[in-house]
This record gives sequence, structure tokens and C-alpha cells, in this order.
Amino acid sequence: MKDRDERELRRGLRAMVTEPPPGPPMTGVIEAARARRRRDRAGLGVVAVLVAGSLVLPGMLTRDRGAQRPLTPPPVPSAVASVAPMPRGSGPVVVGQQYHFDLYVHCGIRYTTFGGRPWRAAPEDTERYASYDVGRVYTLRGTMTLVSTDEARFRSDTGDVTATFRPVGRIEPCD
Amino acid sequence: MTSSDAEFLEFAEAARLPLVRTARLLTGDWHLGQDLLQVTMMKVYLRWGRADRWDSPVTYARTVMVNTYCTWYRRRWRHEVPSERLPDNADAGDAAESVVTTDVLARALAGLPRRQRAAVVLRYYDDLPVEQVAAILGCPPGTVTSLTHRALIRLRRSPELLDDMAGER
Repeated sequence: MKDRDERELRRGLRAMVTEPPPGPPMTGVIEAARARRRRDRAGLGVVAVLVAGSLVLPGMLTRDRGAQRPLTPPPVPSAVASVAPMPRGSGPVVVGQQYHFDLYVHCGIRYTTFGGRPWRAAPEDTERYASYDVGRVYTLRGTMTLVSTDEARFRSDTGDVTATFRPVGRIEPCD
Repeated sequence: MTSSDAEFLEFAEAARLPLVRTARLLTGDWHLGQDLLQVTMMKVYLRWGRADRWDSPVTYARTVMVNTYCTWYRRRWRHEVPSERLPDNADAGDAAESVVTTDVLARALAGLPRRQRAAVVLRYYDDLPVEQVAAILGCPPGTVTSLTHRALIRLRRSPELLDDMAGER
């Protein structure tokens, strides 16, 4: 009985497709495929440009406009309550708030990045740490305070090192 | 046109007829079948550079077609439901009896889930062995046996076919 059913099914299926109507020429498939390939590549190009732009543009803006860019949120003069952790990445910093800060001093106290902006020590102190070995990472643990929109002050935990920083357009590498 | 394009066109023209018939049985409609064939061939063309790695371009195209049908159909034609009358009956031939039989079977097939329908078409129209159907559907051979078994039960219980068989008696 089962075999008979299967034979009937085979015969029925074949009867359904005896006269296929003429279809479009297959050359159209090649044209459609090429158009789709071009579209896909164009889409990939746009994605690549967007990704590259999102990676490069913030850095360019920081470099070009860093000295002029206002800090957010707006300055809030207040007494310092306690030492706050540094915001992640280039998060905003608040005027008057102390932040835990590790100051990079490999080639002296020269440049740093704070609140997403580049800063330069005023004055620079290249003497104190100039003898440190190349290849080792030296940081001074302390706190950084945004005194005003154009001044930040660092103080080491030991209390013997202080430095004042001013906004700068870009950070120069060590000599 | 490159020599690769010419080879593809030669293959596509040769495979068109068997594949469009499979597509029609899968979709239940000649026009949708033509659409499915075009999309399938486009996908095959985009991978034609690797054709030397395929055991058989027709088998590869059939695999692409079934997978496209199972997924593409789900995305675009979720509204598909078995209908009282099929949209096309041009394949029914001249004899009135043949029209009725074909129409009844087509409606019963349209009531099957996609993978069951694909398994039935590949097994009973394309006459492929269970192992090959399993490779195309991307499942173990036991699953193919189960799919076809359940499809046959469903077809046997289908009211359209039962009525038709009762009429024959």
C-alpha cells in the first residue's frame, strides 16, 4: 500500500510540472549578479569609510580644536568633597573636583591627557625624571584637579610633586 | 563576456528546466518558481569561481535553491497559506481529470511545512537518495526519513486527497 502511495505521489508530482512556461533569459542573471556585487562593494566601502571616520575624526578634532574646546559640563565652582575616580575614556571632568590620576613622567613632567584633552605642564620639568630608563613606564600616583577651564593642577600622593597644566593643541612625543 | 561567464551560461541553460520544475514544486507557483530560480542562479554565479570544488554544479544549485526557499520564503512570504484554488493551473494539461488530480495534490502539498515539502520534492520528484537529501537540507539522514514519513502521513490525511480517492472508488 505504501509503495502504491509513493508511486501515485511520484506520478502526481510529475504531472504538476509537465509544461513549464518560458522564463527570462539567463544572461539577465549575470547582469543582476554583477549589479548586486557592485552594490555590496559600495555598501562595504561606505561602512569602511564610516568606521574609519568614527575612529579618526575624534582624534583630529581633539588635535585641532583641543585648546578652544569648552569642557563639559559647565564649570561648577565648589568646595572639593572627596577624590573621585577618573571618568572612563574622555569623560567630562568637573571644575573643583579632585580625581585620582596617574601622571606619566617617562621623559619628565611635560604633557598629559586629562578629561579627554591634551595638556602641557607650565613650566615643564624635564630634569627630575630625565634619568629614568627607557622602556620602563613611570607614573606618579596622585590627584588632578581642574582648577578652571584652562588650568589643571597635579599633586602627587607623597606631596612632594606638584605641577600646573594648560590646554594645548597636541601632545609632542618624548625626544 | 568572459569564458567563465560563457561556461556559467552553458550550465544555467542546461540546468534551467529541471531546476525550474523543482522550484515550481517547492513554491507551488510557476512565477514564484521562476523568481526562486533566478535568485538561485544569481547566487551560483557569484560563487562560480569556486565551481571546480563542487562535486556537481547542479547539486550545488539545488542545495542553494532549497536553502533559499526555506529561508527566503520565511522572510518574504509569511502570509503564504493553502488556498482553495491555486493561482496557476497552466501545468494541468488538457485532460479535465488531470487538472483535478494535479490541483488536489498541489493544494495538499501547499499544506505541508516547508522542510517537509522540500523533502517530498527532493525524494519523490528529483528521486534523490536519502543521504543526498540530507546533505542538501543540512540534516542527518534519519531526519529526512522522519520528514518524508510525516509528510506522507499528512498527505494521506489531507481532506483534498481523501475526497479525491473517495471519488475514484
